[in-house]
Amino acid sequence: MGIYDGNKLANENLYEVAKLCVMAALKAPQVTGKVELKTEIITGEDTLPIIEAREKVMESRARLAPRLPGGTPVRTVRRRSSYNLRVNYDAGTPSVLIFFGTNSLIRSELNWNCGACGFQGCREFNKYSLHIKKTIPGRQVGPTCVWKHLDFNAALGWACAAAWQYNVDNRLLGFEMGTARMLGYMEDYSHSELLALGPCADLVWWNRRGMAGQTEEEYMERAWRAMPQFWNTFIGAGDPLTRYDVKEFLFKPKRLVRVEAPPPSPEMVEAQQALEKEIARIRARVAARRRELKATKKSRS
Amino acid sequence: MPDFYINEWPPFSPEDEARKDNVRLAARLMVNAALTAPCIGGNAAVEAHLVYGRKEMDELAKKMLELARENPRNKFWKNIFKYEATMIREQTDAVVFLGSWNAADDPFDIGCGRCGGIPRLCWLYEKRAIRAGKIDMTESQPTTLVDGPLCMIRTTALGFAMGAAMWMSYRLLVDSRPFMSVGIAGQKLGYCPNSQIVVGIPVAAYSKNAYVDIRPDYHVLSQWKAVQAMRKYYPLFRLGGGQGDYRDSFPFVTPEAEGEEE
Repeated sequence: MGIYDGNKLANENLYEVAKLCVMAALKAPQVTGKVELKTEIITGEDTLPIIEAREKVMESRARLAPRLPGGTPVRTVRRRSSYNLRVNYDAGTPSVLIFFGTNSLIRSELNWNCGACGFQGCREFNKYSLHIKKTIPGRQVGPTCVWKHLDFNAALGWACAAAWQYNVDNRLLGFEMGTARMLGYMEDYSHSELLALGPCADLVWWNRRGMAGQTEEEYMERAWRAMPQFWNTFIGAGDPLTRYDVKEFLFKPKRLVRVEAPPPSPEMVEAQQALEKEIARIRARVAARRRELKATKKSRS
Repeated sequence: MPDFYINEWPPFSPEDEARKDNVRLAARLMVNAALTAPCIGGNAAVEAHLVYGRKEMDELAKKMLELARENPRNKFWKNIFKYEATMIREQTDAVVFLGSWNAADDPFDIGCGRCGGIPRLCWLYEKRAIRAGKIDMTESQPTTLVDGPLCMIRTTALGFAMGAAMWMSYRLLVDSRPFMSVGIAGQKLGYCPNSQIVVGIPVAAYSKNAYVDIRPDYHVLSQWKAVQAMRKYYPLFRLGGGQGDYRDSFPFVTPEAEGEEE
């Protein structure tokens, strides 16, 4: 018996739904049956470092963003999906975040030799993958076995569908996953994705409410920069690339105007260094929190 | 009032065809689920083909058996194709094919590095013929079953579509399973005609799930083979141990046996 705040309870229940999403992802049918998933659920104040780090990235980008005639940076650069995370958090209804990661995709034990990856067979694929691991510094992001990739994404789809079955708005957030990785989440996995659940409301992740407040000037700036790109390449967020020559595009992204890529300006270097400093600070905080949680768990057991 | 009598036995009888009709409805909804699944950047990337009918299933199974000889380096390959061909021929009511029609020639261009392992590099462009900054598929001469490499962002959308179709089938309580073998064979037969990679999802509704508990040598120990063996030996049973004309003779019962029964 009692009187409860239904809204509060509903949002608290997102954690339970997150567990059901993970169950769905683990149960999802696979073509290969060889993809192993690792998952983590982040709730409440533990989502804050990710939001803060994302904001730092966006601020840093805004410093280098295209300027309007009056000198104001185009705000669309920082008003993206992650803006929702902040709005939700400040409203006392933070989204629950689920991380999915796997290392199964960068090697193939299937021996199907189908060629979908671009190699003659799985042996060549594995050899090349090993070469990439040895020669490319940082986290290995490819090559990827296509059939396993289908399985990984089908599992993510099942997690999304599970949330949907419980009427929970959700969205896979790629850029936010990238930021979370900078903080140490899923950094040991070649492929990872972040699924944000809730809060309990309609169309949380659609209609881009975070973009509200944009001036017509800003909108038109973005539109005019993006429109000539529509038949060429990914339009990006206010800073679209152009692909006039494939090799050049691959190695040196070019902007809308055909110019030589300038060396990084002192401002760019400064912005990058400031960002790295901020990320390191937040990362240390996340690590300390992890140690704290581990110690608490240990003392309880 | 019309009525539908539904029974999975005997196969291909009107009552079995009524059951298959129901499965086709489920398969159509699976296609819808696949087409409304999330796709990266809201970009359409998936096409679907729904195939059913005894002749079509037979053609598909034959193509799979042809492909069973394609990969001698893999000792499991032949069995995968043989067993799955048997599942298609004997106990599949419909097949949903899902394909990605822009994975090879229209990458998403975000330089994710998933295809070649090098961040900020669309490795795909290095492996394909390029004209005017575009991939020229007319120059493609694949030597493998699938014409790779493919854009991993595009195949992400195919993965979501596959998951959505499977989700729908599980919700509708029809049995299904995604197969590489069915996808490749279907693609060779021209299903999902614009796709460079196709996954096949056979669908069925039998008392026993057609796609699990598959035992070794399934292609010769399947239900149809069991029925065939029964048909072979049953007449022999009738031939042996003759009792004469059933109209005027019974098997003789000895008085001792009669006593035992009491």
